[in-house]
Amino acid sequence: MAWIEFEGRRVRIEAGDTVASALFRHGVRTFTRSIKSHRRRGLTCLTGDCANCLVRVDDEPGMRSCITPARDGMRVEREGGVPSVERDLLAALDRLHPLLPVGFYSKTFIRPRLAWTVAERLIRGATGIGRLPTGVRPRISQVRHLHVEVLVIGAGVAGLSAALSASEGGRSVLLCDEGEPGWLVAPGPTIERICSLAEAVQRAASITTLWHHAAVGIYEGPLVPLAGPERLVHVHPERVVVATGALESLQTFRGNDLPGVWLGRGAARLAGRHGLSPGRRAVIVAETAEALEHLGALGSSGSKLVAVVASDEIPAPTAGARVIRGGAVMAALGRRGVRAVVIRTERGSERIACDTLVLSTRRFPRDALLRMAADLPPSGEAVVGAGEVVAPGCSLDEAEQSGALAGRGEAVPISEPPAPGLGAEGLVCPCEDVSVADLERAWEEGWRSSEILKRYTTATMGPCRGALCGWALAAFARARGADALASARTTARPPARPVRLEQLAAGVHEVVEKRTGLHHLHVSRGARVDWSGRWKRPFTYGDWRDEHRAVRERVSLMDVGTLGKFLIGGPDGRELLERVLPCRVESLEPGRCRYVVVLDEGGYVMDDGILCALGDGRAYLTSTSGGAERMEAWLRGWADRWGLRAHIVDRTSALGAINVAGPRARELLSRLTDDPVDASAFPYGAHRHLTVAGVPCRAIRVGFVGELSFELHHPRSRGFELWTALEQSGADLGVRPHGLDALDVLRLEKGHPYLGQDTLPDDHPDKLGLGWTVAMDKPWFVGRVALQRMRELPLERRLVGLELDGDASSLRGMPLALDGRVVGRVTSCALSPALGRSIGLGWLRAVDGGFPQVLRAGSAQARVVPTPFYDPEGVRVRA
Amino acid sequence: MPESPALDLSRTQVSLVACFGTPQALDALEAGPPAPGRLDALRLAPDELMVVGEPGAAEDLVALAEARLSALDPGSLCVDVTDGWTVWTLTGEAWLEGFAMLSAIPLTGPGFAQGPVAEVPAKVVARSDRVHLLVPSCSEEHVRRRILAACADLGVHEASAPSEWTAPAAREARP
Repeated sequence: MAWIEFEGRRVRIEAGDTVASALFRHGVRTFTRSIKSHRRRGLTCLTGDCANCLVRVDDEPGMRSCITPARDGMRVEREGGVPSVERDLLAALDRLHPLLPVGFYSKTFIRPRLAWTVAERLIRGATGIGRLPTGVRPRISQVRHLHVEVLVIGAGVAGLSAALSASEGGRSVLLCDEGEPGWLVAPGPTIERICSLAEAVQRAASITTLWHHAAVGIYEGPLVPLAGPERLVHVHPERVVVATGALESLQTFRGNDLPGVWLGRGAARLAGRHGLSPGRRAVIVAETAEALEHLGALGSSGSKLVAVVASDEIPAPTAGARVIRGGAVMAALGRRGVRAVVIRTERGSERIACDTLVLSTRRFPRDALLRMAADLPPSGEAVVGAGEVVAPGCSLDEAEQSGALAGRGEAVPISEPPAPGLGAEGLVCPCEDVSVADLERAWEEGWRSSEILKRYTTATMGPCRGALCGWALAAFARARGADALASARTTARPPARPVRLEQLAAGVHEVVEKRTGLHHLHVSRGARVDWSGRWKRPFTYGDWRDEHRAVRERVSLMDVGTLGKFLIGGPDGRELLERVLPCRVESLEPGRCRYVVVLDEGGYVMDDGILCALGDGRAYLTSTSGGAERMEAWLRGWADRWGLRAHIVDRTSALGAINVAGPRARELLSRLTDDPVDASAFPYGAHRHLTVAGVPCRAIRVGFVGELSFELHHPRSRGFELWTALEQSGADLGVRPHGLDALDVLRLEKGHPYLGQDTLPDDHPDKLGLGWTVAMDKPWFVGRVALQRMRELPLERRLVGLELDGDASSLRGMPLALDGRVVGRVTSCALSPALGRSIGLGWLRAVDGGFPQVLRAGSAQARVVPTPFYDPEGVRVRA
Repeated sequence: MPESPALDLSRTQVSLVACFGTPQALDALEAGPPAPGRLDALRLAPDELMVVGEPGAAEDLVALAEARLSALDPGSLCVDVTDGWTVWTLTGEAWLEGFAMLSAIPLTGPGFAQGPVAEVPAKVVARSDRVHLLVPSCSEEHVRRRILAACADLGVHEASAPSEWTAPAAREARP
């Protein structure tokens, strides 16, 4: 025998039980409380559409108990209610409803500002919408991708029929359902038809079935995510058939949300599938032929049919119940549940004692997915509906035929349901406790379209996503004279069905970690490795000051393999570079290199790097670590636009790079290479092919850190042996590696800005003091026209060097003030070990046509000084 | 752990040579006589071909490709890009299922495709019994970890021995 644990009690479960049916058998009638008024809520739809049966299952909140299979050992608790759902002190809010009209919060908690902060916490705590589990490690869901020709959503009569016809000719078909075929259908002719079709589907070789997977939305592509118990499935179909059926409408009358008010299919399912009687004395509202099936199911479950409120087209039921023609429900009365209903008859109103009111009413399509697709042209055209979702109330034959047409990709007859009638009282949106009176009030206040009524009243914004009330809201606006646009149904957005947070996050891995070939070496050397953009890089190997000293006084190594590296060749390779770079490319001799800035069309600095001229018209270009992908796309984009035959090879991953820097760098290098590295053979601004410790390298003489430097670009797979050879050979020279922390200070001492940190998106070279990198006498390059115009304007802002009082290493981001007025900002700063004083870079705005020279940065004085701070003549770097 | 895992992850060692030239020249190179050490050729773009070779054959392949291509297109370019790519190979009966956990690329059988795999730009070479994933070397560890996480339910097993590049069967070969 199997049991579930329900609020400290053991509840027996039977085969086929859901959590809801097991609890109902146990006598539970109030499953939850409404979120605003704390009204009692009981089972209503049994199709997972409404939010009246949400419970906490095994610590997971918001589970729809009516479609959650009961399993032995499950722990189930009701949510909401203070102190409990059965005895809820906050139910008093229901009596205060007239004092808490729609818009109450936004009107009431405006001032003082703190009011909303306090009120929000109290209100949220009172809603009882479930608690997120704490102390539980979040599960990580994975995504599986599926490619099929046809996806059919929904395994009812129309869906099964669509899958069968779509599979003709061997097309690959995926048929999915939130449950299994017929799982929500009461015994009767419908389930028999479903079983027969399901057997045929099982035999069809090209149909794959995916049960217990709910379609949560339709996106461009089309792409349809299916939320399953274990993972999210991204389906990429060529066509989609939506066969999600229809839902009976919840009529509006006073007490329409009381426990004991059922939608017809839900009551019939409880009776027919679980053998449970929804109540002892039932009144049924019969608007459709299907109501007769519901009557039969209720009768066989032991419910006494007290009255049938039948529309004229429904034949008289044979059950012997009293039939009231042309009547309508005016109210359901009761406190804990239905005790009586008031029916309007030809002779007036009549009170009928009962404990169950079953609404076998007209159905409205469950069409959220279809409406999402309609907003996605052209992929929306690949999405069609079949069965009740396009023709609510259709017969089984019509549903099957509709499915067959949709499966073959043929046009399906569509019939729009007539607008629902609205009563004068009752709830329109049970999820959000929005009543007809609330809508009336909002309308009177001037909110006169369905979309803004939705926003003001929150109708349709509850867990059911408008399944029960979307049509009613639109009908309300239409009945008051709103035009077609203002009375349209509100926009359907994903998720169409509830989805776990872990599934929303499934497959989302925003950060792709990149590593150089020396990553493990750095870790083994005790480096603090951390994120730098998308790269994992060493920041320090212990003490950045020691690393700094090694660079300034001895020799040091740095892994700069993260730099973007490109080989540019082809007949038009040099031409491409000449056009896109603002420097003179033509005059750069093979063997020489040059610092370059890269401008966009607006003349703004996009990136920077080193350009090396190779033989045969080829060139080697580096970019910043974070700019490599953009650089490649940018170069390819221009080449394509101009039709240039330029070959652009991204070598970023293929090549590693080690910067050997410091006054003894040449000495170290000369121990490991037979190639000449003396200043005359290999001067500053040159690049050479060297074999270092047997590793072929392109060595580049540049000096970002302001010392004699050789950047050794080498095959990634040889990085380890090159690095270790340099370390071993330079041991007596005091070689040691340096990381980004030391580099930040080293480059600052040279006054080199970090693009991104020290720059802004609208910086042109003059603002950065990099005007010397631009050859304005070139006839054309990307950004030249804009740059020319900007040069005609006075410089309103520029990056300046700063000297600051005291230890200013924590002043980054500090505003620069002149007589109390903010005129700039510190972008980089440090207490320079080499200079023994605080230095920085910062933005400064022009004041009265000039740039002030003395400012305040917090409590420190900041003086504008020329850069570089260190070795201004560049003697060391050119050594 | 089953005796024979449904999904094996291994590294495949190959040489890779990127060849750039006119589409006609690359067509001719692709369809030309077999070169020693050459295993495969992947057409990445009309003007770009990647030659896959045996491990250690890159230098010879570059020389040979350069010789052949330059005769057809003087502006051509051939570069050893072996170090730029890591080849992860999924084998075992669940390789297709495993791939579907990593990429939205429609792959139903043998063939070649390009696109994101585990969020990384990749070249995908599918054979009847395996799929080779060429990913940038700087992202190899990211892809490895994503494969192990995404395919955990499939019982993925990381093999210590490298896998071999499988040449296309005759019916899988490009026309």
